[in-house]
Amino acid sequence: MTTTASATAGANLSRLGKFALVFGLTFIVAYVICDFMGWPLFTYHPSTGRLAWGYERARTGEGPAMYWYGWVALCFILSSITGLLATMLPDTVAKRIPLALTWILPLLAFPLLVYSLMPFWTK
Amino acid sequence: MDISTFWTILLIIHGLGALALIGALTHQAVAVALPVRAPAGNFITRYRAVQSAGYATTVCVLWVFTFIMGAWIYTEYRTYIRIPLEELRYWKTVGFFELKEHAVSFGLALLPIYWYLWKNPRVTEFDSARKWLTVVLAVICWFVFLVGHVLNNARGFGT
Repeated sequence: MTTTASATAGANLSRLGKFALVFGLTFIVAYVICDFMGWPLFTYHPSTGRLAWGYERARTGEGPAMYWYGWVALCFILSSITGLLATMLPDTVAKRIPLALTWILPLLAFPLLVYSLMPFWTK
Repeated sequence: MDISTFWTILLIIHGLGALALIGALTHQAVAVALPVRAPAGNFITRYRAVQSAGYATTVCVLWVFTFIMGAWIYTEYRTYIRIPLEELRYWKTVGFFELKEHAVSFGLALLPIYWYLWKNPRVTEFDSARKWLTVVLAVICWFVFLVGHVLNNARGFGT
């Protein structure tokens, strides 16, 4: 059981813990990159219900295009892969990943996302 | 059922989920950030004296539920709410909504490690991360809740 294993091993993370930690950290980094680079897995056109792979601009007469679903999906896949890989990390390596990043990283990423929305603040 | 009524009902369910989440998460964050050592006395002390670990699963379930509901109604928002807001030049309101979607995504991604840290409450090496991650999630929750509330005031479904 995860709880017992972690408790007896001190600060060691179980495989679930390694997955969870790396999943969260990767997701945040990947999300910021996807947001800045405009890299959604797919584009959704809500007015027509159409899905298109990757980034696709809104088509004339077909309403807006939505990228957020595509960002989340792509980040979820990437984070799941890195999280699964992290379960294979030796404890000595996993222990070196600071747990504080779980709350510091989102705080560092948030100003970047605010900056990415600059057109909304300056119009 | 009228289509506007349908989306309004979904929005209300989304809002109620957010309300329950904000209650649970705030309770937990206060309890972990300002723990009480002595038996509970007044309301504030009793508020801080709850068993924080018991909230973790509930918070995760509520976050995911509220996230899914929000993601569902987001399609309707994008077409019927955001476009009129842009025509009204409510740029900052729209911008804050964009931040809201980013913030809830961060929160969602951090739920697994948040849950894991809380399911291992006796590991003292997790104490600091557990506390501050909970506080950050509570701040995110308050932020997105208030943005959603203000946005709905600016232009809700059916207006």
